[in-house]
Amino acid sequence: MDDPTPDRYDPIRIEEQWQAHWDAQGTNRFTRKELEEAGDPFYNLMMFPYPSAEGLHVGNIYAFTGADVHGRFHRLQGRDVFEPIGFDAFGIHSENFALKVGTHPMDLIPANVANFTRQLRRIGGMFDWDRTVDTTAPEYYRWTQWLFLQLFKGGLAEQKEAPVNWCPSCMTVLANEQVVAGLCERCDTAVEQRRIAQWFFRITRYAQRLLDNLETLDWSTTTRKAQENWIGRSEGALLRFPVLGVEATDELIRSVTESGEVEEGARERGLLLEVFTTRPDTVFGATYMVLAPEHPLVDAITTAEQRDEVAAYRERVARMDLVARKKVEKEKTGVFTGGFCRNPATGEEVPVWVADYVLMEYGTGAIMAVPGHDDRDFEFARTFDLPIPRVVAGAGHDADTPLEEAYTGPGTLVNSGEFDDLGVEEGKEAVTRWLEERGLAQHRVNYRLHDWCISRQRYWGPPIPIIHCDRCGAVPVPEEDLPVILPRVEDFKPDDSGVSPLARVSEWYETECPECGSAHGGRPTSPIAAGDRRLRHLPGLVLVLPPLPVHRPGRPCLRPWGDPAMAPGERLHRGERARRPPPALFPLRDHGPPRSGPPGLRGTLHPFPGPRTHRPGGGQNVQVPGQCDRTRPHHRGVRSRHLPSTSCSWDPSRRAGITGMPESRGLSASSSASGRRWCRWKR
Amino acid sequence: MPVEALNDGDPDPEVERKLHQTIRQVTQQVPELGYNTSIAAMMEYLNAVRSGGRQAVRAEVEPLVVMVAPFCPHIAEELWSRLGHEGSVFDGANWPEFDAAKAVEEQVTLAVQVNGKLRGTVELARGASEDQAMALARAEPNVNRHLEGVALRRVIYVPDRLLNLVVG
Repeated sequence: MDDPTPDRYDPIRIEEQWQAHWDAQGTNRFTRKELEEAGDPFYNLMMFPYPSAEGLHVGNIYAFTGADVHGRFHRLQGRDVFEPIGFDAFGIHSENFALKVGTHPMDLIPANVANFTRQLRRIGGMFDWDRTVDTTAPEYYRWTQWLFLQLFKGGLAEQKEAPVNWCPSCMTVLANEQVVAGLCERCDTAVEQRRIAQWFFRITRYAQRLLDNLETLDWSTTTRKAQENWIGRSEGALLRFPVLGVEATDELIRSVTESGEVEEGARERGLLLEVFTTRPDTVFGATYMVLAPEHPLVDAITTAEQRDEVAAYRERVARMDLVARKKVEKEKTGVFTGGFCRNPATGEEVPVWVADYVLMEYGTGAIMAVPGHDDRDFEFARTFDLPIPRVVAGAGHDADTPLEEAYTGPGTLVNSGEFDDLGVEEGKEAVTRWLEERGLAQHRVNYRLHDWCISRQRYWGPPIPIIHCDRCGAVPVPEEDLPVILPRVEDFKPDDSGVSPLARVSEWYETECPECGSAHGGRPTSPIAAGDRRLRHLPGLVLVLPPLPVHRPGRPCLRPWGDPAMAPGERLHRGERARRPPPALFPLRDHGPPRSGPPGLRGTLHPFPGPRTHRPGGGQNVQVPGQCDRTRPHHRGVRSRHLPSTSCSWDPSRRAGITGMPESRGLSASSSASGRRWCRWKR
Repeated sequence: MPVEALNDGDPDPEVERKLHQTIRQVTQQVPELGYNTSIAAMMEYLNAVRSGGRQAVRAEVEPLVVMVAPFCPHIAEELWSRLGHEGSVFDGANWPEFDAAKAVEEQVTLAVQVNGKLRGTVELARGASEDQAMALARAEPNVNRHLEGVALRRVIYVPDRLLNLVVG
């Protein structure tokens, strides 16, 4: 520090010198006591990098630098800024990289993490290197699994079959956002559609609350608008069109009914195809129906003459991806099934078509087509020469003004029987009421939002803690038996079967059922072998608020610490004012010296308590074990940043090393000695 | 000159005003992630500190070192230490406070003319923009009276001295 050439800045020497100073003095380290007693806590959390390459990329540095500036500013203003870092090391990016370089992820990821750590230290971020997160560590994903179980028990995680985008090259399911112009964003392979039983989080149950509480968020209008569109609320009606010439079996009734249930007397009423529309006022103009090609009714309604054509069309559509199908402007294709429905308003017979512009997962997978007043229906009717009657007249139109394009504006109803001359808005209500009296309509709110598919048929993720039992169905692994350890599988390559590579490891895959195992008092229990014999994976980042993209691209994602006991979504749901994106919750690894105290989580979970927001007891729907529940007076300036040098520096080789966890849990994922531990979730 | 050699004299009043304006701006903008404007403000301040090859004093430089610290922690630590401080700049709540009174601009009186005739005067900060001058001028009843019902054709603005509005 007494350099003789003071005017010259030598970054390498000076940066190294100060980084060494920070390490030696513990400038950025928090002791547990400091975490608990911080007078003015500021939790400066950034999105952890995924070590899916050998090193950081410039985008990581961009985001972390911005966030670090924010944290350092608050620290200089006297706040206790806790700035952890970690590695979101599970997931497809890491696995694909492992496949590409031909190294097992359990060997590769620690090496990548070591390099990421070296680089992150060099940029000089204010990270507390004694407390890091590694999502692939069993002591971390134990909580991923724990959260899953809470959602499962709350009826918010369920398994159902759904069409997915499938990349035949990556051999995995892709989110719609990962499909670009029909191609996989990673490898440019044409994406196809498959139907696979998947695990979903039922976020649609919160659609209205998510929407309502957007109002209370202090986010930019653009972000709020994007959220609003993404939730996509629309109000309208469920209309019922009698299907002609098809016998109403229970199975078919379920397939054409929104609720998926067979009500009393449903068979006697005959088959009623339910469709959702935001424009019930235009039902008099519904001149044909369209079923999604995957719709179960297609088989039953298709006539013998049309069978070949319909089958060929369905096959063609199955090779397309969902994103391409949703494009509005593409050329309309479709095939007539030969079958008919009756329009409940006009009483006329209308033909039933299959076409790819109707998607199975929106509404009921079927629509009434009103070519006069819907752009896509208009294009379709033009292409196939179907009648296009006018049922709404705008300014300057009358009932007979020909339609050169779909008219979607305001106006009054025409060619609509007793509803003629009503305004569009009144018409919606009046027509719905009229059909409702005859049991052919119901007022409805619909959302574009879908349930969130969280499973992938891949290896590198935390196993879903569910046992599939022949007798009991899906049975949760008891919480005290978590984590379900991901075994080391040498052949972890995905294959074309769409089955997780884990299912190929029978000694892991076949296990006892927790339910009938105990219920039948020690009798031999059935192995997991439910219908589809699969245990699946969770993606790594379940613990961060997932459904809402909370940061603007190009800006660091900064989440000040809030109430550690409240799940992020909960804040939205309760309509609390969150001035910033909501807080996240991480079980952090503590690499400091072993400490006394009860075993279990005390050493691994360190929420940073915020006295301003914490409410001891009551009002907390999600209880986090090991959470600190002390409320402390203001302690500004009390904390010392000088720790004894016995604190270990971070060492990626200590992946499985954790303090305070009972030995019997067998946390060593790769050790052959404990190999049988994960074979049986229960010993 | 090296930071060690800075003397402890009183800051120049003009530089000090600029300093407090800079602290105010940076303090407000960093939490809003307005990093580029914060950095621009600090560069502008540094120009004022160095203008005309003048000799800076410690009180003009030290707050700048702290403000730079979130962006360039290593060099800030180095400078902080060379300024004679023990330990890390981040060890305490070292962020400078701004004094609103000291940040106030010097006021000047501006003559407002309509078609060359003096219709009033307004008080405003030295170096104020034309928009600020126009807004104040319009708020003067006597000026505003002469602008009603006529089109504003031209604005002649001589900063700190004159605002002439040509109407017709």
